Amino acid sequence: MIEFKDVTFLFAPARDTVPIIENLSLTFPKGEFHVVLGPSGCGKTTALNLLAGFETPTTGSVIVDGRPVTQPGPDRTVIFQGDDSLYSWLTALENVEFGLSVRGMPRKERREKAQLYLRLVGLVGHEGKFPDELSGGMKQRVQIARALACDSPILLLDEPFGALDAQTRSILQGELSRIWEETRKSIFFITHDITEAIILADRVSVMHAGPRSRIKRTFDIEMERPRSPADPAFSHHYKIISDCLAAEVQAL
Amino acid sequence: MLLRSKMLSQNWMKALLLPVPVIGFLLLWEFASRSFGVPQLFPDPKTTGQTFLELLRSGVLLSDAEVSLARIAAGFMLGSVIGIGLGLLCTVSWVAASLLSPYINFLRFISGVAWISIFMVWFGIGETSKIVLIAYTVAFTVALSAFAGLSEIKLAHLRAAAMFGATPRQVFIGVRIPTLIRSVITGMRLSLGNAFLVIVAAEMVQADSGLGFSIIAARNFLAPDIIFAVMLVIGLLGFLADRGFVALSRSMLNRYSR
Repeated sequence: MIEFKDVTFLFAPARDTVPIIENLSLTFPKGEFHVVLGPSGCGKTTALNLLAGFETPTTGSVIVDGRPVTQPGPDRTVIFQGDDSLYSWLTALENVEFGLSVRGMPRKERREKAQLYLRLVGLVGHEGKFPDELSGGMKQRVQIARALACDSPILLLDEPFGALDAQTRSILQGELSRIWEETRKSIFFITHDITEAIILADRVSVMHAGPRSRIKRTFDIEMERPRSPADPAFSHHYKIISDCLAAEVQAL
Repeated sequence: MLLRSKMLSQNWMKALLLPVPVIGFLLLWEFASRSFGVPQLFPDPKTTGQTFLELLRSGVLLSDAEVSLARIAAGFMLGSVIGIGLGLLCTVSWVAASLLSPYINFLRFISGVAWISIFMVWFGIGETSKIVLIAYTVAFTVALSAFAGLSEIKLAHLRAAAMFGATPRQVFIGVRIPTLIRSVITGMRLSLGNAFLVIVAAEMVQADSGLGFSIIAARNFLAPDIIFAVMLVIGLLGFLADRGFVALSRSMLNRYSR
């Protein structure tokens, strides 16, 4: 069980008086693909950072399996927005190995595991390349591979496909969906793209516009995977979520 | 990345164009020399070229270049070690970084050239003062680059390491040191160029050998053709040193230059 319990967060408590998120509460069970949808500046990245342990709540707490989150850890691996979280001095393979070497895995074992996961995300033949030799989509795949290699039960994704072209985005959404179905990890995914949310999520939480934001409403997506925008159920979900979100976007 | 692959495909075009600025430069020089009208004061390319060959044949050029390069090499190595040491110290200890920061940020504006006279008083008029001078300028540039690199370390890099559960020591070895190496390489390359600038100035102030000294000697003998020839040699040596450094750092430490 992953829980945000009445979380309020101010970036600089000494200076700011207005919290970006206020009394935000959200719960989702293990194994769920949970998407948080919201307009720009609504605090969704903040919520992710709090779950990741990169920040601590000003009041309230984030609880994972009954224990409050106080710092980052290998049980909650993050796939960052953009492409600068990969280490530029390491090859794709070495980047995937990094998390494993931190844990003291022996060389041969981590090499094999890293190669396995790079194969899984479709990067065979690119293991020896450096990040500056990889496209945006490939770099995101490396991030996914290194996150999966850590075997963390919870994955946090911060608009990971935002900077990619529509085709690559679509392909990676499909791959992520497939990986989730195979591994049943808990996934906390944030985006501002409604279509993406419906394609991926078990449940979608829409946030209010910031500041003082919290969850407005949570929707169940009960559709079979893989999901297609052509499906009439898809447009139904799209409409109700879009109406919910539109009110917030107008508030900006 | 797009920029680089575009540039690669235009390499052959760039090679083709290379003679153009060189020839243009020579033509401009010839034109300027003729317009000036007094060849004894403003020699043309041909005269300079002949002087250059003479100096080369007589061995003077070679021995001057050797002396200057030896000073640069010694100062560069000493300065690099000091600069890297300072960079490492600041990586390890934020206290040291805070304490050193004002010095580095203030003293950097006082160029090595300003220190020439003082260093001569302190270290004598021999090789030591010149090597110290170069080491000073190199150490500063390298330390400054290290500083800049460390303060610009990416938050995403640190966060990624943290989420993997890295200990502070693992973050140091796995993230901070590679970042430091990168900045140090940049700083060293920059400082190599500075070293050439400084040594010529130093040799002009006081020396009995070296390329800078030759320029002053030529001035005293009213031989601008020698001055021009030596200037070209300095430019060429500096260029080759820079290219050599880049080639070396790419072959040995390629991953830190990305």
